[in-house]
Amino acid sequence: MSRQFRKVTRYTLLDTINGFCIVLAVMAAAALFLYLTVREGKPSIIGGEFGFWIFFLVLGIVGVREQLRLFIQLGTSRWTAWGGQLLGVGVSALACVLVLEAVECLTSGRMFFGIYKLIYLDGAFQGITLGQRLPGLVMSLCLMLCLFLLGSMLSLVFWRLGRYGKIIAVALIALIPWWLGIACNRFPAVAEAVMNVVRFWAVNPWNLIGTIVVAALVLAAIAAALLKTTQIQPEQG
Amino acid sequence: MTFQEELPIFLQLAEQLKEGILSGAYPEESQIPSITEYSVAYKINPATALKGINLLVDEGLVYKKRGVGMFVSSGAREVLQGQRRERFYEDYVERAVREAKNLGLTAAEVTALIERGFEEDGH
Amino acid sequence: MAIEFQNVSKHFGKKQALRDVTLRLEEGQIYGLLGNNGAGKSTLMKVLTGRLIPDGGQVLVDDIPVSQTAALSRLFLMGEENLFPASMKVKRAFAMAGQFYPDFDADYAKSLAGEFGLELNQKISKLSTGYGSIFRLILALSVNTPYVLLDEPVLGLDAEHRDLFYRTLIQKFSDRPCTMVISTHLIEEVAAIVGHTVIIRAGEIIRDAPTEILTGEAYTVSGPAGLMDAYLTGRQVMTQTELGGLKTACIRGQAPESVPAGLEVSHVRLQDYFVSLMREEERK
Repeated sequence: MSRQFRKVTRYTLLDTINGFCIVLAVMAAAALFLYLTVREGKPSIIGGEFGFWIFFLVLGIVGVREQLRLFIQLGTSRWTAWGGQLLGVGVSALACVLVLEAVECLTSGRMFFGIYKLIYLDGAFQGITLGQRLPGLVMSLCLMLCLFLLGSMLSLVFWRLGRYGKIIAVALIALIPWWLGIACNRFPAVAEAVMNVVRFWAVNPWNLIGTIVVAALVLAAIAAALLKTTQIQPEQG
Repeated sequence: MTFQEELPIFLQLAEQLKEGILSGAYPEESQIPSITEYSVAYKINPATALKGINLLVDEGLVYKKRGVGMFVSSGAREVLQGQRRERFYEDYVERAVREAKNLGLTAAEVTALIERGFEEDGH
Repeated sequence: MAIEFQNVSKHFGKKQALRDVTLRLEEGQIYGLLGNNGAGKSTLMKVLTGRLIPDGGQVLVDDIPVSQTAALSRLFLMGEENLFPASMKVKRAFAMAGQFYPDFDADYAKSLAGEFGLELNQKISKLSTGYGSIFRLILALSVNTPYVLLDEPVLGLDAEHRDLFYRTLIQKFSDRPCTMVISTHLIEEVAAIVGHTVIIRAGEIIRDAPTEILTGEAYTVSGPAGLMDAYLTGRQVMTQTELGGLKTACIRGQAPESVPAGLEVSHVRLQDYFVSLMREEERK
């Protein structure tokens, strides 16, 4: 690992954790507000993890360009910059996952993040063994990384599109659920296939994790291919 | 000093240094500014400044003291005066004569003007 | 130890910004990269520093391809645009430069900021055009990389700051020799500073030589039109202009010791040489 690589990782780590803390603080404030006004024993926030998923997605969209620009100015290649960023995001995601788990335990489930637990453990948050928690932690970690890569890839795609290209791309993406819906309606085979995939995931959390990891690798490969010929331009305007 | 287009910059710098030695602005055995100081002052490439100063070094008018800087050689002033004397005819007389002919002045008229010049200047 | 462009080409849509450029920039010189707006100066520098990927050819720094950090870390480009995050403060940018460029001289940068009047606590996005340039040129002068590239460094600078910049540049180059490349369309300002000149036109390098050789390539003669016409016959005239019976011409060749009576000869200024060269190229 070259010196620049380490510096990029460190920068990313600090930047990401800074952002994560802000999001967490906002959620904590909301939870506190709810707790004070509602005063029930039930959890105040459920599925707050979703907010952090969005955080990593946005980080990918915005952060990849910002850091490529910054580090090319500082004499660091796009590969070192992107690689260092990936490592930094990975370590940050790990820290995030552990912190969320800890907050969940400390607040006795009032701030309840674990979507994994909702799906696979019927929402249990107490009395679970480490072995039962582990898939959830791994899944969150992989998902955060995967979303970051999705954001990066989208950002790199859009960076090369002109005005009309961007509009068309956004339209196509927004209509994906629609395409899927139509396909399922028209072609029972497609609906069957989708059900099979969902069953596959439901049967074993590691199946879902495996899918996420494969998706992440595919996204990374696409992003890398795009990165090879990206022109690093400053912000417009 | 502003740069005219007639001569390359390093030559102009050399001429200016020689003027300074002749006029006594740079006394013999005194230190002259460094290459860096010249190039910064006149906003020119240090290599150009070096070239100009080296002309004087080659003519023995200036010498380098290792680790200290550049100094005016003793006797430099005399050498320069001698050079200028030899060039006086080419530098001044030829031009004056040419101009005089353009204006239709005779040799006697020009001589009278020169004598007037010596009187008025006082030296 | 040099920067090498080998058959580099780059196009943007229909426009061919660089055509098969081959160029070698050696150590220890101040280079001038001269050309009109749109000639390809910025593109050349951006390809060199890894911001743009060429369509063809390759660029090496000390024999290392510029796709690698090992090459890029030997360069610093003061570009026309800011690549730092908008919300970052000047102070932080200096600190980051110190982290990524081990020879960065923080004290020198600070003192330059004082001399130019640059506020260290300012957000980079809030700097005016002039101070944006000043911010980037202070970085360029403080990183102490073997190669320093300046793309239109005096953009937006007032006369006093321009003067200070040139003096600081020369002092810097004198104190710590490196390779500097100044790209500009303001030729006469840098004419005395650049030891080696590269002229680029429509994406092609048309001249690459020590400055004094280029200015020795031509000379100007002026005088009454009648005498001039006689003198000009049989000579390679690059350009000529006439005003009220007086004609001035830029002639290719070495300046003669003397010219016929009534005519004046002088060495050509780099800017005039450049303009004449461009006109000549256009006629082709």
